[in-house]
Amino acid sequence: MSRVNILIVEDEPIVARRVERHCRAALGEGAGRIERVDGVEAAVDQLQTGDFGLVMLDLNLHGEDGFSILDRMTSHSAHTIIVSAYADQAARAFDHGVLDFVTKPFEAERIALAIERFRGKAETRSEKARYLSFRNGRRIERVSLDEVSLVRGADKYAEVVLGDGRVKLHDKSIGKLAALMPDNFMRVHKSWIVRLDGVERLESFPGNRHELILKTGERAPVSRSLIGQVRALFQ
Amino acid sequence: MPNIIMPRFLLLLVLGPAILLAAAGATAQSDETLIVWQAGDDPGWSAADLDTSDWQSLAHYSGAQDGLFWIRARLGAPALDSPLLSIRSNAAYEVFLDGRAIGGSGRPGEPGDAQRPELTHIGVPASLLTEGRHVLAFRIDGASVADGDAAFLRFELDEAATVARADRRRDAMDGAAALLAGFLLFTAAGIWIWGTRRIELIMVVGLCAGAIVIFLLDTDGRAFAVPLLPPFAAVILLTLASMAIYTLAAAIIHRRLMLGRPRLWAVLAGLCLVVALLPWPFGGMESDQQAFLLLALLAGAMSLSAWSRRPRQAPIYAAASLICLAAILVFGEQLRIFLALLVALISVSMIVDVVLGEIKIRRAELRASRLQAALVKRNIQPHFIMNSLTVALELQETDAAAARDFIRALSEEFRSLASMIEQTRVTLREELALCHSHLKMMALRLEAQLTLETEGLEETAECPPGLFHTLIENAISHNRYDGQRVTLSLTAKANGSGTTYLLRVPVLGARAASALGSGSGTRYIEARLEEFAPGRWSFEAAPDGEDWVSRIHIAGVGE
Repeated sequence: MSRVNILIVEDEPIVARRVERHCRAALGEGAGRIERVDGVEAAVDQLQTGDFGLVMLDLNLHGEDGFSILDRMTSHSAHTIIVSAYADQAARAFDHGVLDFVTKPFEAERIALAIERFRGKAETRSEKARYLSFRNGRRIERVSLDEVSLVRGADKYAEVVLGDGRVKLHDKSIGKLAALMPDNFMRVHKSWIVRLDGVERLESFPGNRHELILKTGERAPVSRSLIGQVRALFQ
Repeated sequence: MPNIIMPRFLLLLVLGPAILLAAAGATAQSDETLIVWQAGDDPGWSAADLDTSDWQSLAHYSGAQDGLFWIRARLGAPALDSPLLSIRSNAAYEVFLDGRAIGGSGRPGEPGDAQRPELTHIGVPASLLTEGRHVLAFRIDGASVADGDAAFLRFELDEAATVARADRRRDAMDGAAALLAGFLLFTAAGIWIWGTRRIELIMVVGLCAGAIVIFLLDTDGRAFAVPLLPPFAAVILLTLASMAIYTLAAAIIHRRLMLGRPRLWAVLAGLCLVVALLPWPFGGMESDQQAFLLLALLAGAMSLSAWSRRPRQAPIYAAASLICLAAILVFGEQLRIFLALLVALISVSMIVDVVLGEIKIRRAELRASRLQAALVKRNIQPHFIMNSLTVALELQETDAAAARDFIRALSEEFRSLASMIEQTRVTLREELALCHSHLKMMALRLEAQLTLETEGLEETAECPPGLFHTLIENAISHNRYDGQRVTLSLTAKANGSGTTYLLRVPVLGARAASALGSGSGTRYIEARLEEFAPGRWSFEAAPDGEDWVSRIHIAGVGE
């Protein structure tokens, strides 16, 4: 199992230590390098230089509103888990594409569950993203998932195809994006996620090959292991 | 209608009887060719066909008469079935119709016979008062009038039934107006005693009392018919009542419109009074009517002057001034209609003001409640309380002794806070205790050394609760004090205008200095200062070198 590098963004030293302690406990041997920073700028610097798989982010850093920086965090390849006192902001945070929302004060078990979700070993929360954030140079662009028609894997990145034909490159892998996508999207292949209401028909070919024909004219292959689920959806 | 009346306005208080008597003559100017007078006494002066060419017109009435004098008036009498002569005077008199004595009041000419004048109805035999021209002659004893007073005489001739109806109508109207004024008087007095003690309420009480006196005692000389009330006292009473109404109405309007320059408006009001006493070339109004007409104009001028600053009240007062003006011009003879309107309008205005004041008080109470809630909310806000609990959990699992210290410090802060939640002002000692407990708790949380140094603070002085605590809390949450040794300083300096407090905090890694001077903390401080010292405070915050300095000045504190 590959080790996970974690970036903890928290302005209170004792709380940051607690997050680190419980992350290490949850990951065990899987824990890689864990860095702690107390501000947004330091976090962005770390994300650009370090190879982090997970960011544990406090939403209130020295009086700053965390939502102003959330898109910058979620546009990175790393998954973001919020660790915050503001439980009422959870739904809004999920809209921005965070993987989980841990409310303070927290116990070891809650951090362990968040880590399980990160590792894909536990169901993710029912709240899903409504937006995806893309880095465009120094600018962050937010796109509503209503505009997205399909997502294609591109090595460790993902190509997000919009309804108007534009293609945007996201830093997250297709696997990480799949964990954030709402229920009207389906991962039909290890490299393809399609929007279900954008599918026109399912076509089958000799050799047990199957493709979804989208309304935009795009064609998306369907894994043999998933063809049963796909057929059930379209029947 | 012949009408000789002594204007009471400002009698004795400002000008004096002699001038007033001259003014009295002026009020009857239109009748001066029909009414003549002569000092002295001659039984023959009652004769119908007397040659009065050497008598003087009322325009030349020269002042108080100490002895007997006569007044003769020529009448063009209509045909009346049951004629009734109504006479009001403060002197002893006899009255003759075409040379025949028909009645009188008191015994003119006899020494020591001071008269108690009253409205006298004298029935005139219809046979004597045939349709056509007649002469009424009055033999009046000026010496019977109270010292310092001057004689007045007023008479009307009409059908007995008509006079009786008019009397009943007048009495009913006076009674109703007096009742209204009485109700408003007790309402205003009640509000003053049990509610808000505003000077305007006392003014309304005075105004209503003056109006009641006028309503009940002025008409037809009722004041002079009150037993045990000497004529001189009656004149003073009515004069004071008129004066009270005039000055209090002007003062109330001035205060209600929140006009400045009280001396200027007082001088204008005084000038109006003087002008009211001068003979006017038009209208034939009595001087008290003239005075109240000028008062209505003055109120209109006040309204216009306050138009831009009091956009709600000024139009109401301008409209009321116009209504009162119209009442005087239309019902000039019956001044009590104007007075009733004036009393009603001012009193209604006051009652509206009291109601609005109550609403304002409730809003202030609500604001105070909101501020209490804000103080609590700021200290149980998720970021503060949940982070504190997370720290407590972590310390409890890793360092039990540190956990105990932390929980103790947190409890201490909440205890200080709880003791001042419902206060609108606390001593600096209490405020500093809260600040120190907050610093102690945050020092443990941030693993830092946080110190507050104070200088020049008078610990018994008062300030709004949570004032400096909020500023310190802001400084900690917007700076990176974790792991640092930080000293904050609070100084107080009293000067002639009040006390100035300076809180100096080091800026360490703040995202933007401006963030320290904005947000809910600043709004809380401003709201608390306004509650503590309405309109007498200032709050500024700005960077100063390496520090962020908050400057609070509270006028009238610590002078």
